[in-house]
Amino acid sequence: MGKIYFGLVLTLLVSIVVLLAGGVLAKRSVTRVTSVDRELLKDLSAKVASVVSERKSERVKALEEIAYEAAKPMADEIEAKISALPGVRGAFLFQEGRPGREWVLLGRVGSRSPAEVVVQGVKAPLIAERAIVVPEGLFKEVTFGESGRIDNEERSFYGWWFSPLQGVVVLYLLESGLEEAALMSEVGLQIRDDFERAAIAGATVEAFYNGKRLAGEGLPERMATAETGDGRYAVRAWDRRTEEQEFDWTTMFGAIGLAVVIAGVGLGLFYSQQRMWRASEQRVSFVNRVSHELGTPLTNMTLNLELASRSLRSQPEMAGRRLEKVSEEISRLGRLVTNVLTHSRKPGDGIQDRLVVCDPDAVILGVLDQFRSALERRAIEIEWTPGETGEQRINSDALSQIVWNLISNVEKYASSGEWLSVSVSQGDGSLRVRVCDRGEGIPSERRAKVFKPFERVSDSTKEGVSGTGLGLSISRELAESMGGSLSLLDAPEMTIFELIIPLQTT
Amino acid sequence: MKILVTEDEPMTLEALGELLRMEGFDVVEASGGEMALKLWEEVHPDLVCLDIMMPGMDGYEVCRRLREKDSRTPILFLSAKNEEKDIVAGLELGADDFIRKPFSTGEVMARIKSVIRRAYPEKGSRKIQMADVVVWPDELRAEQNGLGIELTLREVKMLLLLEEKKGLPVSRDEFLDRCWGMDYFPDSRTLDQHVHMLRKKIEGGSELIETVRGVGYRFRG
Repeated sequence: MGKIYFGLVLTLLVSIVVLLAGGVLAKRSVTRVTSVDRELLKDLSAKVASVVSERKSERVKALEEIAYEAAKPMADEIEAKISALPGVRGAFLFQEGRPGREWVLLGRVGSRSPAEVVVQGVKAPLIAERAIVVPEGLFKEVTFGESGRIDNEERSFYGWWFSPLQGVVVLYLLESGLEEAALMSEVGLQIRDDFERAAIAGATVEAFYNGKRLAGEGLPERMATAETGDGRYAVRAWDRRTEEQEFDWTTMFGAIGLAVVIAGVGLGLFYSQQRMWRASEQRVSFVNRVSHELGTPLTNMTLNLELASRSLRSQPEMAGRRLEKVSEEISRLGRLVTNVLTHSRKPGDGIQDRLVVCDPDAVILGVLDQFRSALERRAIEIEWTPGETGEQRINSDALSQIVWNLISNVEKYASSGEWLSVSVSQGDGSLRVRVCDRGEGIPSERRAKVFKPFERVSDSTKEGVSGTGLGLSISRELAESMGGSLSLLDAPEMTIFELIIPLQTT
Repeated sequence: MKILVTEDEPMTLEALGELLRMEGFDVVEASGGEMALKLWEEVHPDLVCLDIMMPGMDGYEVCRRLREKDSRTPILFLSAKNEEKDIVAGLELGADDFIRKPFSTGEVMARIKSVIRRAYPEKGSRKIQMADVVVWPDELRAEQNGLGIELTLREVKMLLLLEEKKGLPVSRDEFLDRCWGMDYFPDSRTLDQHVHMLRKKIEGGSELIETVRGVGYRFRG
């Protein structure tokens, strides 16, 4: 039995695991991607390009204006003007190729010192790689309105020159880092709103200038790049990605279905095993009961044979009585064996073939006579009412087996009533046999079950009365196979079994 | 020696009672558990034989109740319940032996005698020498030339009566009165049958137990 429960628990556990796994599988994390709008990206790129070139041309314009001022003989406030332009560290005036006035911004403490500006061949620079070296005779050939650029070796400073008047050149000393930072800051401010709008529209965008971030953040998926005259800028864009937790009910319902099927199969197996286990227990119990039932007549036969043999010579009449008892027990044994065999075969097989012409009263009285001494020993008074039906065509074997079982039950279970009534009657084309007793009776809750095989009114061994639990079951099947019935009637203070067998019209 | 036999099957009760009486025991019969307890109080038997499956109070319950009052009197189960668990249950309740039905009469007698020997060892010390036969009356056995002889209680009673008379003849009536009891009415042939059995058991029995014509028998020691 333990194994059966183990199987049930195992399948229930498996179905719980399936449910849990289903729950885990049904929960999914989904990444939603909002693609970058390519048009938006193009617009941003164009915007960045225009802002950068606008700023640059504004700056060039400012430098040119200052150069016009510086070319005047009484030029003043040049220092203040150039200091207002970020990245400008100095201005040098050249007239007819010769250096003239110069305005150098030393800068605050801690800032980079301005680079040296020297004319090639005139003076050797202190730090060659830092110096802006003006090629000899460059400004002599310059015409009005021209401009140009001179880089130092380390590219930290460069010179940008402009000719405001014929024969005059103003060279600005520019610090690349400061200038770029200022440009980026200005451009960044100008494009910030556009980038924010783009972010609201779903794209993450970033703009770079010469590899440095102008606006935005993150890693790009799409990128638009462009070159300006003195730098490279890029606008990069990302698809917006959002992670969402989703619950997949299809998977969950699948798991629930599977769990229910597994649990159902487990329960089904459990109940079928339980039924088989009960059936096998009933069989074992039946074998035990049969062996017990065999024990009693065999014991009586052994004892009576021993007593008969002891008194055979001295008291032959006593020996005779003992042998009669042995015969009585052989008959009991025979009936028991018949019951077991009838149960093993299918009761009623070929029952019609065994119809014989006989007097039912004689058949029943014959059975009653077999029990007479046993009933007397238990002080059971017998009341016999014959039906006087005359000869009938019936199955006398089945009739006698049924009546034998009914009387045997009275002997075994109802001896306390000390009364047995067997009555036969005829009516409506049927033979009616009633076996009544006044024993302890059958409790109402067991009445429906008494005709089931292996069922006894009391199954407890403590009750102490033996029996195979087959008699009533076999008797009813025999009665039904003859087209009749065997039923337990309701009667106060009495147990009445009624057998009805339809009579053949001859 | 009184034996209380409890059995709900009337035929078994009657036949077993008769067999035990034939063996020389005094038998009290009870047809159910309650009756057995009542009779036990009245007669205080030397041994109790109990069936298990009986209506009302079953044999196990009777055994349990008897053991509460008396731990000495041997109890023997005679039952058609023959599974190991039934036997174990019976012995655990304090029974001295368990005999399965159907049993042979020889087995029942041998087991009853064995249980009596074990339960009453103090009675086993008595020993009587009759010619070359040594009789242990309480153990229901004898020995002759190193060979054991199983005796019934009746046979022991007969031998004791012959010994008591020291070679004088014992009349048939005296045999029947002393060995069968006043309430029991066997006829003369029953006595002859028993003498015949006794003579068969003892070597040279016909010479040792001599027929005295018109009187009865005597022992020639």
